[in-house]
Amino acid sequence: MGFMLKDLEYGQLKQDLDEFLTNSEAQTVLLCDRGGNVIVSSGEAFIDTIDMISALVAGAFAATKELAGILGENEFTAIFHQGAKISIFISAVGEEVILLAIFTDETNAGLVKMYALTTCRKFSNLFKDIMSRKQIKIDDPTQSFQLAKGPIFQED
Amino acid sequence: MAVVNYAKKEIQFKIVYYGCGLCGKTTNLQKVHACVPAKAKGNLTSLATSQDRTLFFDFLPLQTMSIEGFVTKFQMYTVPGQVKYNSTRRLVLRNCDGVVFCVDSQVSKTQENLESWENLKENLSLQKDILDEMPHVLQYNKRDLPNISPQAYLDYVLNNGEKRIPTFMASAFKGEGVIETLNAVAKLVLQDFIEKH
Ligand SMILES: Nc1nc2c(ncn2[C@@H]2O[C@H](COP(=O)(O)OP(=O)(O)O)[C@@H](O)[C@H]2O)c(=O)[nH]1
Ligand SMILES: [Mg+2]
Repeated sequence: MGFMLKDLEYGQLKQDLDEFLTNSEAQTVLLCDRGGNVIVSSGEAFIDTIDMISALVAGAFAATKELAGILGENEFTAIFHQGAKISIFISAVGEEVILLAIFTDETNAGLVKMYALTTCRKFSNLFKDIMSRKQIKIDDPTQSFQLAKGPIFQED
Repeated sequence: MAVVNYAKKEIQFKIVYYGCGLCGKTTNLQKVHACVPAKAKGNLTSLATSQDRTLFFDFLPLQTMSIEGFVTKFQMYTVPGQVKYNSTRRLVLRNCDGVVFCVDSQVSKTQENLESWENLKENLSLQKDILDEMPHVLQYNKRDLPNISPQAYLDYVLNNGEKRIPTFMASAFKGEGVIETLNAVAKLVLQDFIEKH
């Protein structure tokens, strides 16, 4: 199990995310799984800390689930956090994936939300396909995963 | 749950350090962070513990070339050990690929270790994982302290199944056994991945 992204799928995701950034004028957009693993991102802002952001977004998403439960909702599928300069919009893409959009106060939050939700809907079927696939047949039959020699981590 | 990106030639795994409160999970990550080369690591982030926090864990991204032709990333997490933080533990375990169960070897901690061990199995089963099928290793930590259980006793309590779990003696505090533990779990994760793909 896992996310096995073929070249084409990655290209498609990346293109759609780029498009989302252009349309919404958000700074950075990220797709991650609900365990916090980065799947794809687009945009340069905050890219150095994208791994950590991803871990925390999954956390924020899960944390509101408890609150939703108390209110009789299964979960909040979209969350908006507003800051003075930077704001974020988080939205579920199906059962396993989360989209995060990071944008500034120069952007229209409503626009970000609208394009984000459209993008999420578009992706939700694609991810259903990706998730249901156990293994992908790579076009090049000589390609398989091989462990590199030597210890994985060495002390400096 | 590995993320494989053929276009970017990148594979990502998630490894979780589990164990009771104060057994040395954070210390493990701190030592790993201190001793792996700069190009292999990102920042170690520890979310501070405060009373009303529902969410906190340590996080350290690592990067290797351990699968030929692919940048191989390991996202390292620790869970909060205290009993009341179970929802954070569940979140951190989600979609993980391997587990280090860190044991506080002190005799007085036997019960806490066992409870955490059972809690790990229970939380895995809630996400339809089984510990036996998840790459994992045991680390008997704090071997430098005086009042510790002998290894044989810890094995008897924790490592008594048909298949022996790889076990590492450590003093995370002194940096002993930390890299060995990490390499062992990373290797199991990689082998498991290669077998399945
Ligand atoms: N003597 C000794 N102390 C340790 C060792 N590993 C961790 N500690 C100490 O145990 C305490 C709790 O460690 P920490 O890593 O925060 O535990 P965590 O709750 O599992 O993250 C700290 O004071 C550490 O310095 C060890 O191997 N030997
Ligand atoms: Mg800790």
